Amino acid sequence: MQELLDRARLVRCADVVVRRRNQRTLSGVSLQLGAGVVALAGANGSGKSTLLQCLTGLLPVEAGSIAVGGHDVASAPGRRAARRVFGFLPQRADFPGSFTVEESVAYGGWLHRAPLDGDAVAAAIERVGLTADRRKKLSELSGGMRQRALLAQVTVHTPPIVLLDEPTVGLDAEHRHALRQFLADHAAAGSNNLVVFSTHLPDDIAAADRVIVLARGAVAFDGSPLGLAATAGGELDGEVSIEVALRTLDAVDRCSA
Amino acid sequence: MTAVREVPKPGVDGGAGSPLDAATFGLVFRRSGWRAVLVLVVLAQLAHVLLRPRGWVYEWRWATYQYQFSTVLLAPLVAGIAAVIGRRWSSARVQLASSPRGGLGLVLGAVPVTLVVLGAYVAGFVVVVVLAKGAGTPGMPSAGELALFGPAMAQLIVAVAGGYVVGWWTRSLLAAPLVAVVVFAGLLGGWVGGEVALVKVGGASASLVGLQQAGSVIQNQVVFFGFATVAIGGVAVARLRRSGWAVPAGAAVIALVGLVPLLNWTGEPLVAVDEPMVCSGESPRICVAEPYERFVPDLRSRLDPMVERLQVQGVAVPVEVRQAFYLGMDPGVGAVAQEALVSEDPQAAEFALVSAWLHDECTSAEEMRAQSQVLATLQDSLRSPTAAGLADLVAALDAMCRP
Repeated sequence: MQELLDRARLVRCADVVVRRRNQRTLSGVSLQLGAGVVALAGANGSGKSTLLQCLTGLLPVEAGSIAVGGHDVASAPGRRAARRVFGFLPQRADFPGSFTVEESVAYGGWLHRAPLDGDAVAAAIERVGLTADRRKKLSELSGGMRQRALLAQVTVHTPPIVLLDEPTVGLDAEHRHALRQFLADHAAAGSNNLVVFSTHLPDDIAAADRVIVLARGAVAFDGSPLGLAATAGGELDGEVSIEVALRTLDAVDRCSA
Repeated sequence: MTAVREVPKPGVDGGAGSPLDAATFGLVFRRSGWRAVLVLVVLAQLAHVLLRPRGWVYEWRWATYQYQFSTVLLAPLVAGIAAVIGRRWSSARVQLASSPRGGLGLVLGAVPVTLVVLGAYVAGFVVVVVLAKGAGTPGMPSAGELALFGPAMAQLIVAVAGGYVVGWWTRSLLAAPLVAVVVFAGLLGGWVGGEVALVKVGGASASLVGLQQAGSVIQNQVVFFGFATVAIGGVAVARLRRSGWAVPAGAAVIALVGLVPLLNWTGEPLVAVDEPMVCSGESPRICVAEPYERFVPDLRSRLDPMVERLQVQGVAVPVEVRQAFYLGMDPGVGAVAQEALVSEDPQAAEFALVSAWLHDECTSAEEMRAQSQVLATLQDSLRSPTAAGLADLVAALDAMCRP
């Protein structure tokens, strides 16, 4: 029973406060994330990237606590242990362009203590649809293709928790759809798998199991995409409603400020 | 709270596996741009060896020390190259920071350039060996002479580490030229500012017969450069991982242990060494260091006519002329400069005789000028078969600037 409860809390944040350049970027964020696909939404500067970087232990928190996969990322041993259970793709991620796709993915496997196994590398590349381009250097790829190659790099070890910051930026509609399918497949691949990604696109949000909207560093909404749509009146079709809901939340946030 | 399933780890034992396997190393090496680094370093070393004066080819110690002097230009160059590589790897900063082997990955990025630089540096010495053997220098460099490769290579490693970390942190295109200039200015500042023991890992503008780099200086340089490298790398890794500051702190303390004696060293980091000398003949007896023994017959053939002229005019020739070295000369002993042995320079041969009557206690510029005039006249006279008055000139020179 306890294990089931723990699985339902792959990521736990309690009253997290983060200050960057003397400004609060997260103000008392509390969350519990279980298995599934979670979209982090919100306007620019709402704290999405900050929250993701805190989850990975890249950013220290001023107050509160964060546990990822049961490991407290505030402590060095906790961060070390947590790094083994997630893969993180930052916004505007990059990698030395002299590596080919399969080399960069193999290197990602080594970074994550997974074997440089040819099959695992090939499977990761196939999942992002770059098999035909696996021998190309990263410098020869378009921005979207490079983004997919780096997604394969950080997920080659099939981590239970995948954290992605704006992964659909720079992708065309077809590849955005493919990426959403990739995220859904990854979450469905294990009962213990969690995908958290930040986005501002309604169709990304609609594809998630759960959406958390951040506004000015605080949770403004936490629920299902349909629930978010309902906050805007629920009269329009889902996708547009989400966009309206996001705008509404953003406007409310601006007025309250 | 129970931790979730962890990522499967490599290795049949199910453990963490080898931190660094050949495949990963090969991968990083292959994509490091090592060919360009190799070409640059080899060209720099060839230029240093081939385009500079080559008086060192007759003496292994001088040859070895002179080769290490190339670090004055090579260290800034490789620091700049490493900055480019550090900047390149900085694009993967977040992947490294958020993965279990990110710290090792950061260090690994600098390993290929380090290995290529050191490999090219050692290989460049082959050219020195070829030139010295071509000049007929007997034997090979001794272990003591080769020991100077230790601080030289350590200096190159710390330059690579510094450049790499600056490129990694700044992510700026300007990092490479700025790092190169700063390293060069630092080395130059050490020379100009009197901290020669800190920056000098070799180099000699004249023969090193009777001299060698102080062992303690070599030791402290290796300690300082080595642990400074660990400290620099450790800071970069600790900053990336937000932990593990004990390693760079400890390394910095040990580096200081090496640094303090270097800063306290006064003057050139050279000490006198017992030099095996080979003596032969009489009137005068010619004593030279072993590597120069083969030049003695030629020197004697050039001295003999001058000795004869001196003797004809009743001047007692010096009993001994001896290859000049650091410890100074006994009164009445002529100083044989290296040029007198390896070149046809008549003045160098004449000086081997006349230096026996040359004293260095002049107290005024006027005395020094007068001494120079007498010396020049005496050398001219020695060269001329018909010149008279050699006895008077020798007596005059011998009387000047005596202690």
